[in-house]
Amino acid sequence: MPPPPPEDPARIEPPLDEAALRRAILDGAAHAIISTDPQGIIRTFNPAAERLLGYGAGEVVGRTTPAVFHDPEEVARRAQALTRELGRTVAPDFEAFVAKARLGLADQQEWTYLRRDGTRVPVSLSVSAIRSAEGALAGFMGIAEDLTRAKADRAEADRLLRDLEHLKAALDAATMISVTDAGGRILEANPLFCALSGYGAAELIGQSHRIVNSGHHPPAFFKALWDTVLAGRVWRGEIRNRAKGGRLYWVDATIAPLLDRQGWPTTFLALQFDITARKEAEAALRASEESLARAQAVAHLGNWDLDLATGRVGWSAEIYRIFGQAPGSFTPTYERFMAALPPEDQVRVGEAVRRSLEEDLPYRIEHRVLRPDGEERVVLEQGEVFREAGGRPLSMVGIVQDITERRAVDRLKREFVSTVSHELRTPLTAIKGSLGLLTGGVGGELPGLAKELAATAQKNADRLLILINDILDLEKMETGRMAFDLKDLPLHPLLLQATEDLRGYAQGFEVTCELDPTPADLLTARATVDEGRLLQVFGNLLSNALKFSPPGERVRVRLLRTGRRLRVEVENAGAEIPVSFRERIFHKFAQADGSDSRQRGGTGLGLSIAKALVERMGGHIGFESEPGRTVFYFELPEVAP
Amino acid sequence: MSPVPPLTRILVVDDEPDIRNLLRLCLVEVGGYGVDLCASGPGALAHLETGRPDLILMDVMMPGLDGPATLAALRDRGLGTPVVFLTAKVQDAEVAALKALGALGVIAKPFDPMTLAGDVRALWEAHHG
Repeated sequence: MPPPPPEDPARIEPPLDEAALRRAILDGAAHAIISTDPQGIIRTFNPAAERLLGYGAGEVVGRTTPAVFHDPEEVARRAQALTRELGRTVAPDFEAFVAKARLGLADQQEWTYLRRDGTRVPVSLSVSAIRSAEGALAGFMGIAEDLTRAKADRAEADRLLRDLEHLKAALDAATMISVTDAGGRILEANPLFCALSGYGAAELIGQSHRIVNSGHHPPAFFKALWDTVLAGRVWRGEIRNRAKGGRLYWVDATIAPLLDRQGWPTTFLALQFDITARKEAEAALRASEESLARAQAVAHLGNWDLDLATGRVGWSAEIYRIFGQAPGSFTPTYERFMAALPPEDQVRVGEAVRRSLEEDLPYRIEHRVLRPDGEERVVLEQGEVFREAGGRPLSMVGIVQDITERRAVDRLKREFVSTVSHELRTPLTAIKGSLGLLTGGVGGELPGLAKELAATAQKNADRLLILINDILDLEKMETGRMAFDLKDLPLHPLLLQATEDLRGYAQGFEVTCELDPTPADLLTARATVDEGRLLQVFGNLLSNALKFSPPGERVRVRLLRTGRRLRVEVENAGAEIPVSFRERIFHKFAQADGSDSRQRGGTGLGLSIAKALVERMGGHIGFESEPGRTVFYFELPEVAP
Repeated sequence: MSPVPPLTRILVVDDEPDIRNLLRLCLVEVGGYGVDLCASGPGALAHLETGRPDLILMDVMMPGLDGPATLAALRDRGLGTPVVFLTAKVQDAEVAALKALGALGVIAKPFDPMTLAGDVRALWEAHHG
């Protein structure tokens, strides 16, 4: 490595040259520095001035200011301002720059420089007088600072401030704002806080928030709040407060601690939104739901819905209870529902649901439910499909009602009726038998009037017996205890026989009874029936038709085919069935007029028995009535030949 | 073809006194038969230790030993006396069940008092015909 060169003796500093120093200052200065002689002739124009204005020193030195880089209008305005300020005329020329400096006054003013490229640049220009040691005026010096950046910063700051003001205005309008000190004393409360709390700002300042405490929340609630904010974290929650005067209101509160440099909270900012309306709506909804749930519990009735797209199932609490489960203890599904049914009921209910979806009809079905503890309940299940406008099924909704007790009562009622009816038969047997022997002359020949009275008693004993038999028949059908001997039989011969059998009975009403010619292809058409029961149905319809026909009329019977069903019609002339009666015509003991049963004879059970019998044979019964003509019909599925 | 044996004496078994009396009137006054009356199944069994009726007309529903049980007890004792049942239950299936027990026939309650004796006689003749 070569040794360092010996120190150069020429580098020893000479004494400071004042001119050189000035030169260095001018060259190195960040601000534009321009000096003139006392008349305004530019003498120096430093590099910063060259950069700021775009002119070279050579282009401007020797020229008089205001030079090319000043705006004449601005100079004129400044001259006017100075004229007013100094109380003497200041000409709109070089004097506008130096009038104050001449007087030894500080002069710092904003000006606009015109750059060589035509753009404008704001500057802050300080002008001072240069004087000799003796005080003689040697010239002026202007130092110009580029304000472009400062102006932009100011504009940005102004914008931020405006934004903040808008934000504050918005916050003030939307939320209650309050500030407390570290001890919880209120320092500020905005107008909305005052409005909702009912207190004036003066009443609030210096108080703690306990002034609005409603007593609704336990102390632990507020302790948790304070623990959170004192630890420097934000607390958020819903608080029920009490306004001045006692009115209660709910707020959604956010409380933020403002921390000092050490991280200790100095103040707390609380933003609170009024949520009273929402809370009241929630409470009303809850109350409504509770009352619905109570009503469902009283009725033992629950509701469900099924979203057909997702398969999601919803159950009300009461359905869980009917199924012997804790409400909400599992997510219900269609499969889960089905699993609670005995297997044979699963088939029936599945079929009903499927048909409801296919045929767009509501379904209604009774089935059993097996609870986890083994208890069996009977429920009535109803459902309905909801479709979108195009007809695509969207969902099903329905109800489940526990009718176990009702069914038990029904059973007791039926058993009671059955027992009573059986018990009535024994004395009736004795009455009928005794009357039969009396009128038969076994007790000796009866005098004329006694014979008549015994006959009346006998006729009514017969009627009573028919009634009892009808009641027992119905009871047997309702409990499914009536045996049916079903066979595939042609209907035409049965109708022929029944019409013949009733011909004598018809004569009593002075009515004729005829079977219309049966079409050849129906002569052997068969249905699956119990012969005796079918004749019973037919006898009921025919005797009804006879009873309600005016004398001299004809009752017409015919066998028809509608689609895949055989239809038997019994038509009679006579009054139209009153509309008000039509709906309950198949009900037990339904008669259009209470006096009918006495006038026409019959028990009032004939049609309900006929309906039950036809339905047990897989058929359907109905009627059509208009003035002068009534047709009762039943239809049975035809057995394929 | 054997001649129909004479039908002269009938044992009536029914727990209801009025019905019993009525049956007696029907069979004696209208039919001209000799009649004995019993109020229960055990009563009938006791009567049959000495009595020898040609036919027994018996109610089905009786407290204690009912009609069918009484019939079974008779057969157990080797007594082949023909039995006709009286019953309020007249469904085909029930009639068939009673006949299967060995009953000659079934007469429905309430019965027609003027034809009862004739109905019993018809069953008797059909049995021996």
